Amino acid sequence: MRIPALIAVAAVAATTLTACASTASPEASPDDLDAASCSVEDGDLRVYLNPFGSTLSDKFTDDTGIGTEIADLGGGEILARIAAEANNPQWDVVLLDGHGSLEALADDDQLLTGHQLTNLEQLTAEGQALLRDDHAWVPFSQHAAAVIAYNTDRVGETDAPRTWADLTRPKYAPIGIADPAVAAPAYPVVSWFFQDLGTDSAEDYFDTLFANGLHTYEKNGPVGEALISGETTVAALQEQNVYSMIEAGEPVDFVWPDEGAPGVVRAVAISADTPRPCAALTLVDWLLEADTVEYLMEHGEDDGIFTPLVEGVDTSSLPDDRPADAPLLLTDASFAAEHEAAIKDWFADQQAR
Amino acid sequence: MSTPTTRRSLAIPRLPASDILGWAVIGALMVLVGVPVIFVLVQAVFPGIGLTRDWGFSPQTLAEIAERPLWQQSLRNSLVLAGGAMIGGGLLGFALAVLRHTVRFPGARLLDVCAWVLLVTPSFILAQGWVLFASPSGTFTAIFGSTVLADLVFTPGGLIVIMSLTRFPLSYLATTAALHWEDPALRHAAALSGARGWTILRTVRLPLLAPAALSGAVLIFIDTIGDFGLPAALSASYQFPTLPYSIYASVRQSPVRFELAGVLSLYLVAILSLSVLIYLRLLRRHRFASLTAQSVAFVAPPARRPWRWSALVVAFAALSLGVPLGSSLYVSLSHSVSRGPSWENLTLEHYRAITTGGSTILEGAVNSLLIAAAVAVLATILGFLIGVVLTFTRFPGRGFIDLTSTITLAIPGIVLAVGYIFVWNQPVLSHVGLDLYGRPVLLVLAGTAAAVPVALRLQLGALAQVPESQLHAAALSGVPLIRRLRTIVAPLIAPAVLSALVAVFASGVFDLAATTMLAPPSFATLPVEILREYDRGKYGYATAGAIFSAVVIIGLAAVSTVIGRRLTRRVAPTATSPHRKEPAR
Repeated sequence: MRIPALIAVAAVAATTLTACASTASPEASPDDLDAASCSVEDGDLRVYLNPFGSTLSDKFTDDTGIGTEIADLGGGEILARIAAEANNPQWDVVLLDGHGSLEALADDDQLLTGHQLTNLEQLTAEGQALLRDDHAWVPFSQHAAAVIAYNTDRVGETDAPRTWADLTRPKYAPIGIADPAVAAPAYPVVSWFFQDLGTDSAEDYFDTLFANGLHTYEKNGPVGEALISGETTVAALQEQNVYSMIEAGEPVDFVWPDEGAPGVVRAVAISADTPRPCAALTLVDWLLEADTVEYLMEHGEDDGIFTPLVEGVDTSSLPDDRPADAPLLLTDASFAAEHEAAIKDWFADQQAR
Repeated sequence: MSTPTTRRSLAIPRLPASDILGWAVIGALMVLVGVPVIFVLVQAVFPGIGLTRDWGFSPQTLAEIAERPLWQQSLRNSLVLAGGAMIGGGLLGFALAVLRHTVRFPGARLLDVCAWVLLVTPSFILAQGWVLFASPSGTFTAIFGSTVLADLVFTPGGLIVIMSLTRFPLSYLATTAALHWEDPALRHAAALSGARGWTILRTVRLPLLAPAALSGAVLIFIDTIGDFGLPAALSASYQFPTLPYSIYASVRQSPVRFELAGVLSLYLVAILSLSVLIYLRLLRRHRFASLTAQSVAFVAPPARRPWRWSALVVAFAALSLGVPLGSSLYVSLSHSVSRGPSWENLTLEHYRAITTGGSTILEGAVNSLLIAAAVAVLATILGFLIGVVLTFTRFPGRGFIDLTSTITLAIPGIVLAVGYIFVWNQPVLSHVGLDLYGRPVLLVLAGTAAAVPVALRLQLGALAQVPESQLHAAALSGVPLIRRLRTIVAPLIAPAVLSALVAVFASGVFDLAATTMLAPPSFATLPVEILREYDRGKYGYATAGAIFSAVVIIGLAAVSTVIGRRLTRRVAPTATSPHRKEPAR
């Protein structure tokens, strides 16, 4: 066999395998799937999650006796993995920050719908409002994807920016922000501006920031380090990072603007192809219990800093620096999903110019 | 100098086993590299193929580079960085290797140590070390209160210097391998003809080193253009998008855009293919088998001013090795970088956190070391066999083998990993028990695919020096191919085999992208654990993990190198006559 023939065979194999894969039907039959009455399937539940890691899986196994295998990855890696597994999903449940991403998976029919959860009524009114009609993903909590953090050696408290519009003032440059193309919490920040201001005004806003000096970093951790060192004066920084820096005595303080802070929703969803739908529902129901949420807030370190969307949760473990009832600005899930590629491409191209 | 002869049709007509070997190598490369890469590349024009029923023909993405400033910038940056590092690192490595093996001076071995440590230290850790040192939030600024270094380093020129300092070992080791043996008759003949030291170096030794030097320089180019460690580390403080980074971003964004990854990978593969072709043409013009029965291990004469060279080498080691590892060490021992050096800021807490029970970094280290060991053995054997096919046979698929065995250098690990998921997660494979996705063995296969280029290139230079006459003689005596390889070729190139084994082992431990995508659930790996801590901004803990693992890697590499050298010490060339090969095809 000649080399080109080998390549041709490989290409044909790809097509054939696609055909084989595409005919596979989902194993779950959600129509009669009720968490209250179904029985848990054998085998470990495969959970792809960004926050909590083994803190969550160990507690879940202790509480329910259901074993888990977790892939504790960044939000981007989780989405890449789910996409690459599209024709043969290896995951049962996904938990990540970014309701827009889950909305996109739901629109692509990759999430289980039509099932009955026992604890759904435990969601707060805000949580209920976020819930899709088909329950494809279930909101769990929300937190600020960005507050206005500033270096106190460079900016005094009275002189600090108070609103998001203030960031366009040249005296606050350079401004740090996580890269929305890579950092899961950064896209909800950028997309909120696009939704709130409209595309043209949002582009003008970020163009001004770019012109003044906008430093993008891969993740929020490096954004915080750059702020500490004074490399940037002000940063749009995820709230959890801010509290830990203040606690460590770093020269950092923050403003939660009166208008609100762009928020990100942490949500959970079940694969449409899961062979363990009942065990997966058990996990989602377990997450909606107040005790579970309290446990995760207490033991989840930075991941445990959030506003729960579950009723009756004692939030006393939250840091003192976190303002109570501070407003969060959420991008509409369908807007976030629909415009994600275009907004990220535009932002990345502006950086490269 | 050896005299030209017509290449005897040694291997193919008389050794049909070499044909079998050639096809076996192609088969292995297709499984490890070819099919997964094709799956990714075809996404460029057939988005969704292999994944969904909705795939179709959509070639317009190929031309999108004309409209995307990010891609144009990425392409420019990649070419500038790789081209600059090839020249800078290539010349640096070559010059240092020639210095090391031309004169004797105290501390010369420090160069070997330096090259080895740099080679076995994961690229991400080195790049991170430089960033921690030079960035405006780094150790230099914290200590000296000036960002002048950041202004110098975070420019295209500065990055080329860093890459040259980090990658020069590839050129250094390739040249050193070629300097391992020499036939003194060549030098003596030149001297008898009236040539002096510099003339002998220029007209006799340097031309003989050309294949190794070119090999090293090209290896630096393709290693740099596909490198993800530097852009990943840089992304924390400097906007310098490269092709691998843009591919990485396209795969990690939502919605995931494999077609963009496919297009950008196609550009990378095109650049790589071109560089391999140029490399082969260059090699064809300058190839000599210089090992003969008279060859001896070269003994350099003492230098005239040895301390000048010693000082140069020490300064160089401090710069290339001391800066990146030293700054990482400093960060790992500090409560906070920004507080600057002080006793109050000194702490061992990060190391305590790593070594105490329940540390996932420890658990990840054990898993990663085991995988890297398996990868090292497999990749070195495969690299050796590929090298044999390329060097000693006229197997018709050599060009394809050469390209396929080099291509993974240009394919970012995350893309290769995506290709692996495409292939090994196909439902049809589960029916025959080959659904390897979700099992650690897939990490070994992906690691092997990623390591084959290095394993091959580190052995190829040495293989080029083995005279075919020795194999020919053994073949005429009826010795089977495998035994010829084991008893003649392997011992002659044992140092290179050892180099490959150790280098692959070390790089395999920190194969970040592949492990991120392919690690089975609940299977901790070292690079994923370390990067997670970096992302959280826990630099002290992350660098402590990096330093800890680098020490383990360097320690294991050093021990295996020493043991290996003892085992190969008695090996010497055993050929009976000078011989010159016809250029390779």
